Amino acid sequence: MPAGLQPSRLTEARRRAESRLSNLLGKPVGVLQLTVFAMPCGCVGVSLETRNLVREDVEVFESKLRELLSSLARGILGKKPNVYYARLAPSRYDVVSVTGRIACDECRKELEGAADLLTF
Amino acid sequence: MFSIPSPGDPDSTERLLDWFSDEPEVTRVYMGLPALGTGRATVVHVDVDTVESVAEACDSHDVDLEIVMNPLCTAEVVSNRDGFSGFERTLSELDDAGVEHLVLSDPLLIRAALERGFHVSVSCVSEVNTPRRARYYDELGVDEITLDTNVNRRLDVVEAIAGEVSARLRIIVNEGCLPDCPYRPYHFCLFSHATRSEAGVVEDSYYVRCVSERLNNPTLLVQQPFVRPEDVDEYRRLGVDSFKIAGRANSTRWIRRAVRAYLQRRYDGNLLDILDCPTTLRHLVHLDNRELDGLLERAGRCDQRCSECGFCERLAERAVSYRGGLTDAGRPATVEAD
Repeated sequence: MPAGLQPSRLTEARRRAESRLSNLLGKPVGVLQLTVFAMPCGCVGVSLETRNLVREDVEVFESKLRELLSSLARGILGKKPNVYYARLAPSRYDVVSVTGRIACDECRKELEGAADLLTF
Repeated sequence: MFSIPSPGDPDSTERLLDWFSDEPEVTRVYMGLPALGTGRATVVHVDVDTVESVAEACDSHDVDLEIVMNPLCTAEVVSNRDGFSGFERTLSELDDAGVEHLVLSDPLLIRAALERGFHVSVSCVSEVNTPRRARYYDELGVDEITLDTNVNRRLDVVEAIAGEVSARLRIIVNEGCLPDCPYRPYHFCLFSHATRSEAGVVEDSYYVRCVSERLNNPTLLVQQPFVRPEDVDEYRRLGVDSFKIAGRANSTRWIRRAVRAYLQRRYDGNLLDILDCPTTLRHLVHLDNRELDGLLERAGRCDQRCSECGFCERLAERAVSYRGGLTDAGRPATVEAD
């Protein structure tokens, strides 16, 4: 198992991500789940399921969020994402999750136009 | 006296009944039947055959089974004859399955069930929060009224309703919803449709929002309309006859912990461990139940003039602490994510 996928490291990465988000935004932000995923098309990535993160936070702090997700992806997957996005609740106010994805060519184009996503 | 939740399958129900077989205060088990939609998620497939198996399990333990059909939105049932006929068929099937107790929300459905001889408890979804509204249901002939959880902290209202109706009064003790939640009717409406397996309900936006509200404002955690295990008997003195423990969408292990706390009238630890909806919060926040000793004495006569009072805010500063990464919130970031 790659070092980045060891359970204790994943647990600690989730905790640190939660702490960094809270400190960055100056309010408690919950990270309910850190997900490492691999898809049939070849896309891989890391995703943080968040609470108390809203669209405006992403718009204001997009470069910091990219840094955070990039740091996570490099630590866990050994690669830097080429797409970053937030998944929005249907009301487009709450952010359900933020993701850094090393996307395949096809998905990379499709993600740009997804209605429930905010790419940054 | 206590109604305890079942996830809805016979095996889980048997397990729960075995755990509490020597507890005379556990008198009823309830489960959702999503035929019309319900007020909470039902985590297993439930149909009338399942209900019959669960009813047999309850009967063998001499405990009543209560079937919950409490959608907020009943438009598809009450607005056309076919819809209502479907409800009447469900009632007949439940009768054949040996069910006697129902939890319903819509007064039109309640009347139909009463005419067929069912014992009905009014759901909290009906928001009975005044003596006048309670009398409507009382005059229909219901056996029991489950109060709107928002009056749990209005002891004067609880006492007034108890004095005005002949029906038994029940309160939900461990609901962890926002106090006077502005999303509540809309969330119940969403559940009405989502639990009917209709297409188009893919996201529970209210759940995301309500967790966020509490992370943002920990005072809300103290103000949630829960009744602590330690305070149950105070409500009995006010005229409340029975207590419902919420949590039918949770595991049996979770249910056991919550039921035990209320049977023992005490819980030492994070009160969020035993509060239902949203259970996720307990992994993010610790609400120290011992710090809440004496809460009811003050909160039970709350007039909601928070800007003049500040009691809950001060209490939250002592009782609420963040867990995990949130413990570092407010301090300079000193660690890297990788």
